Amino acid sequence: MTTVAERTSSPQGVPASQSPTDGDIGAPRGGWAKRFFGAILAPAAIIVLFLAIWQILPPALGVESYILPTPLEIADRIVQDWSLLWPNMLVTLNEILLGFLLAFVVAMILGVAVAHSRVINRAIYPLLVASQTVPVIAIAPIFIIWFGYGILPKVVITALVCFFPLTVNAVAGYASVDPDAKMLFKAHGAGRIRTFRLLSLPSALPSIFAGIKISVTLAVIGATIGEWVGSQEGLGYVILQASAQIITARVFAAIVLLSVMGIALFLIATLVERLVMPWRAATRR
Amino acid sequence: MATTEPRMDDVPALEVHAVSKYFHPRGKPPVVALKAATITVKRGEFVSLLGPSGCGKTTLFNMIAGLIEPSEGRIVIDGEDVTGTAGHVGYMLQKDLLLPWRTILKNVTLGAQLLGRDIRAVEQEARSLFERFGLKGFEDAWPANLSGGMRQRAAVMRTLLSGRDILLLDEPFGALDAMSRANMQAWLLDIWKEYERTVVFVTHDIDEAIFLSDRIIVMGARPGSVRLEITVESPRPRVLDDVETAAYRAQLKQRILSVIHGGPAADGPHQTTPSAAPVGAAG
Repeated sequence: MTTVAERTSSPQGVPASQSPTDGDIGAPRGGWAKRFFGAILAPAAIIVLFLAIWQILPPALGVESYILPTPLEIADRIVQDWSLLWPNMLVTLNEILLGFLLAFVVAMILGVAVAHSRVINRAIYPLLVASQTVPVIAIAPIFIIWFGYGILPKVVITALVCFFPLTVNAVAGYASVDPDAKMLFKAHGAGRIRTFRLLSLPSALPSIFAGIKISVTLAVIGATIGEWVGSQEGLGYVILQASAQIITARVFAAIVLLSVMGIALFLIATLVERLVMPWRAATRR
Repeated sequence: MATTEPRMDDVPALEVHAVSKYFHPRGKPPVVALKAATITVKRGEFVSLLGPSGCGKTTLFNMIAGLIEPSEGRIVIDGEDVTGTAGHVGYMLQKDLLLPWRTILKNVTLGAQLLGRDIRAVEQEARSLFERFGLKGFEDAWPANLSGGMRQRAAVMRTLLSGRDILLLDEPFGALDAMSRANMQAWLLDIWKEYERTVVFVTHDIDEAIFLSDRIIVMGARPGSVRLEITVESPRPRVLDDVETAAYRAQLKQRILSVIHGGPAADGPHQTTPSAAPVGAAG
């Protein structure tokens, strides 16, 4: 970390010529152009190269389109099937968001409870881990039996997939609070609620956001599994139907849209993270 | 500082009355962390608690701050019994404990905010202090953008802005390098004089204690207790490399060292006492 020079020795303890502009706060580091190339251009080049090989190589080797359609065929299919894909995409997105939200609410409540009580911690943690050892794909049919063919089983399955990373990260976040900072709060007469709001929650935020970023991408998988087990709509359903009819390009089209949703959700989570924790972006070196 | 009202000078700022602390680890005999400590600190005084690790100075500190309750004895601040209650002192630890998600301005006002002081007034007061604390221009910076010395000064400002007369400083400069440390010591004395606070300072550095304090309370370990109270006679303002007082300071240091090592007050320059010597006899 680079810092402004110390000037404590001056008689008044005042640095002679210190102003924010003397320091390096907010100044771009390492070269803007260099970062642009590193973060955007290099990965983009890899993706373009990958797509180009995919576009050229399989047809040249005589691979049939129904086995592996080329990227351009898939893009064409997305455009042609848009009226089919779009409403189904909205259905899946709805399941993803509701499932994630359900998991988030439960995980945040549980995270606080586990962090603040050793008894709850001991009682719930094994159950938490156990819930993860059960394969979601295996219990999904049970949810269909319980909740029918509507949106509910998909939401529950999505929530189940999101729940674990959210909870574990929240608990880890609350556990990471500096005990000395807690002492400082206590010495200044801060009660539990204030200590939580002003210390524990902000301390846990980086960890909570790590959980959010993992689980929004998992949520896409959860919703798809839910639709596979039993549904009449959604991109998962589109995939099942299209593969039964060997419309491979449509299968890929749906996969691309699922993937785009996952990436978009991840980016949104990252954006929210930056807005909520501006100090992290400002101090990252 | 508008927050310290004038008080009767004959009431000590802080009285520690025969305070003991026992810990009871499960399955083990109880541990005496501190035995019958009695300390009186006058208003405006700079007192250091000096001792090796395990002498109970941090335990005593935590009891004064109200973080833990004494097993025996009373803590009296401004003539009022505050035993076991927090929020009566400004408290600073070795770590600056600046919260990374708060700007420097929000960090220095945190203590005041927690104590329920009017946050707008405190923020205004804080802004006027930034120049004096060598932090001008860094009001809206994040703590991660500051150097170690600047962070430490911000932590001192937070402690000052708590508005409490007594400032408890627990090895505040322990993590700094020798150069910044010497600077910070001189600077702290300026601040202390200017804002007329009562400072109780924990350290295990004898030179630091001699340089800073009006009075040094030497503590010993096993059991933690007060072994010696010593008044530092050298006049202020003090200069670190003052030749005239060098001999006096060396003599003080020798006396303190001999007490810490558990022997009787020694006169010889290189006298060391065997580690098996009985403790608790001196002082």
